[in-house]
Amino acid sequence: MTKKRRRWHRIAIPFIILILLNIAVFVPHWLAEPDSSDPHYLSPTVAGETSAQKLAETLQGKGITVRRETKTSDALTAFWSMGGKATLFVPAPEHVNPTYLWMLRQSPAGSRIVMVEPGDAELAQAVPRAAAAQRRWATAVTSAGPECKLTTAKRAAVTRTRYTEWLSPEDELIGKYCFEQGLVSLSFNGIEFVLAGSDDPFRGDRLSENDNAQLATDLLSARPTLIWLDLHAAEPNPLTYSEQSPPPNGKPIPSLAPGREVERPDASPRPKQSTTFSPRPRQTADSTATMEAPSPFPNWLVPLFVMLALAALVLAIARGRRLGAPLTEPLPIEVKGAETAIGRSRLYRRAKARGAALDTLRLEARRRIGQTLGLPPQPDREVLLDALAAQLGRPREQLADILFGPSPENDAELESRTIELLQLVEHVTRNGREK
Amino acid sequence: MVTIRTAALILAALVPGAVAVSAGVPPWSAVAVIAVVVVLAVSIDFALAADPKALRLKRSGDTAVRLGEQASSELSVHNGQDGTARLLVRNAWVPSAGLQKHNYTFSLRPGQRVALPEDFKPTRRGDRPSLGVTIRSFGPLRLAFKQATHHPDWTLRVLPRFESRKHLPEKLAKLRQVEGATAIRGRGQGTEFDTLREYVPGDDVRSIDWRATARRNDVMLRTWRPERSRRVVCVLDTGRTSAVRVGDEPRLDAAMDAALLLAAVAQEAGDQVDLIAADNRARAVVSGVTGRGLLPKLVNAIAPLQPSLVETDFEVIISEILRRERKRSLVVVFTALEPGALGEGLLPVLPKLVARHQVLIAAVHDPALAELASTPVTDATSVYEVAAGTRALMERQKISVALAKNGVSVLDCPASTFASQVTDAYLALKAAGRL
Repeated sequence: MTKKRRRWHRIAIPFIILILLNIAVFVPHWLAEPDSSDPHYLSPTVAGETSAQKLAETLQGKGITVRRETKTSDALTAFWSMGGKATLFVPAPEHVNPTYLWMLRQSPAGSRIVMVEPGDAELAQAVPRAAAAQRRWATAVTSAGPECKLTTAKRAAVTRTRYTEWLSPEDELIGKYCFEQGLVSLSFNGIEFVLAGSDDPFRGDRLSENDNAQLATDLLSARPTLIWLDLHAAEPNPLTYSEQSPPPNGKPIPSLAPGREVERPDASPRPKQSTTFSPRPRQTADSTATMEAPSPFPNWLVPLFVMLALAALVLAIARGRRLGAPLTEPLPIEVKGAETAIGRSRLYRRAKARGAALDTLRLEARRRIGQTLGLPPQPDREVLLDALAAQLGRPREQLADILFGPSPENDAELESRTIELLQLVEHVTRNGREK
Repeated sequence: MVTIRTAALILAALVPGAVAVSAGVPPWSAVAVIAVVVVLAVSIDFALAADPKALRLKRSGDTAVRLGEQASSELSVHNGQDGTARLLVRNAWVPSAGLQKHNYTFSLRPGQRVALPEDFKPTRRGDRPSLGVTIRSFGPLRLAFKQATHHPDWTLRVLPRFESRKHLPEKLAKLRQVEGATAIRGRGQGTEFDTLREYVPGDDVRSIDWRATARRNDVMLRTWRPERSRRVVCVLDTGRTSAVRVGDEPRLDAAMDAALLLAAVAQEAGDQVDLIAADNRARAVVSGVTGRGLLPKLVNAIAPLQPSLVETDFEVIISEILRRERKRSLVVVFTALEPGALGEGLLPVLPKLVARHQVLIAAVHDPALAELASTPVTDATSVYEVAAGTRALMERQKISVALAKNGVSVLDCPASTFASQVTDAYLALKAAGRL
């Protein structure tokens, strides 16, 4: 039973340690991640830890008009009305309805749209050419790169999701890449889409780190007006068509009012995933860093190591199998001699039982002296003292002090009184024997 | 299961593998080929290994040995299978059995039998069990093996040393003296009438039988002999106090030694010897055995006894004695003068026993106690030790006085002379005719 349990422990403990380590890493990470559904998350007005209030103030200080919108429909209306002289800032693209994302493509030429960490689903609607390449565990601080024209910031924490483009084999990259692909600018229909790989540069609590503030202001101050889409929850689908109200001119214009989703007529272009294109890593001359370098090791090295590891494993298995269980022996019980007496002496010492210890010794001393002097067992105090004084010729008070004296106050006194007592007994019994 | 040879085979296969790779074979293909070859070789070898479970084991030879002597026996292994068995056999016994050689490597042709010698040099008394015979059966290439452990029910009984045998001649001589069988004394001591014989000058005139003298023309003399066919009951206390180490061995072993000597002498004197070993229940009982068979039977009965950490229940022991022994007998209780065990266990029930039987309490003196009581006084700790030792000795004194008051003889002596003194006490009682 116990053996089985121990064996079970042996298997379970490493896994438990691994699980605990994982919990210790993942739980704090999950707690530290900002939540885009918080009302203050990258908001220009609401104060909070991850709020972008400070950034909005900086931008206003630079003469940029900041308009906060809480509905995508309103934001789009305002954005389109600017006619290409505005920047649309989308801090949480995951909350924007896919239909509105798709509509972004129809913004006036010359506009700029800044999106914070859009995923593949959002990009497929807004900028189908762009694709999220890989996502890091945490935001990395990287340098902008020598040819970065998007910002004057040198080092910033913006590289968490890296972006690339869907390309057919003969296509060329058209995007401008900074911060090791953490920041990308793509022109599409004359609209400049800027994709930031992390929310760090915009957050109030990170604004002062590195060149984050510089980066954020550069991205958002390219046009005189900034429309800030402050969105913290998913939106309903916009009302497009309904049989009750046919389109005004027979032309499919998407309504910007929120409403029910209705089948789009076939004429309406639908967001479609590209099927013929494949994501291709950047292979331009200036970006060899992301290409896989040829391995410096010969191709037989890994197989060799696999063979050696196999041999080691087989050796471990062969040596690990023992020839029967270890020899066990039930041992008989044996107790050290005088164990209880030794235990009692320790108890005396711990309790500092000087009086009790000396009383015991005195009792035994009186018995032995009485025996030697030929007195009856357990003699009277006076009788014993008389007999002893007569025998030794020593003063009675002194003998009484030795045999019946007070309890000692400290260890030194205990020691001296004991020696005195034992010497007396020794003396009397030796005399008795000589007689 | 694989052997080290398999690991060596994998390593050796690296050489042809390297040659093949340099000749242009892809490394992973070489690895795959080597793996297949090794797996095939190991599987075939495993399949050809003899089944270790089907081998037949038998043991013959000594089953009992006196502690300190050597025992020898044989373990025979028989191969009843069709193939040759290549074996590694581990004959596992508890370490205290003192088996000289555990592992044997040999081959067995079909139908062949081999006898493996077992030489035991036991280091501990009692039943020494076999822990099983593990058999590893290799394939012809020794790349793989099958393994099984047989668990036969074998034990080697190690009998007590009976060190006090050396006292036996002396005690028997003493016994003969007591019986009057030697020529040193003309007349035997004792109270039982033996024979009438003619008077020779020098005989005690008080022994002359005048009635017989009147019937015959010679002066006749009565001779006496000590009582025969008396009963002696040895009680071994196997409770917690018997676990205390006195000198080199537990108190129980000293008691066994003394009991054996006493039994040997008493049996020679024509007395009936019974034995009860008990703590809170009877552990071993020998009764009703007479003659030469007594000693082996006693030794066998007490050999496996071990002290157990329980308080001895003297009520159980005494009711057992009263139930078994109707006639007046000498009850020798081998125990320890421990105030707790005897004061609370034995004293309350002792009168019942004393009323029917002659009781002798034999206790081994613990020298550690006297040593503790005479620790030289150097500091307070040593005073406490002296006091604790003195107190234990005083309590022992008290208990032996209390026992003596109950009409019990008390024998308290060191382990070295214990057996001898117990037998002397028995002989003294016999000589005094008090049995």
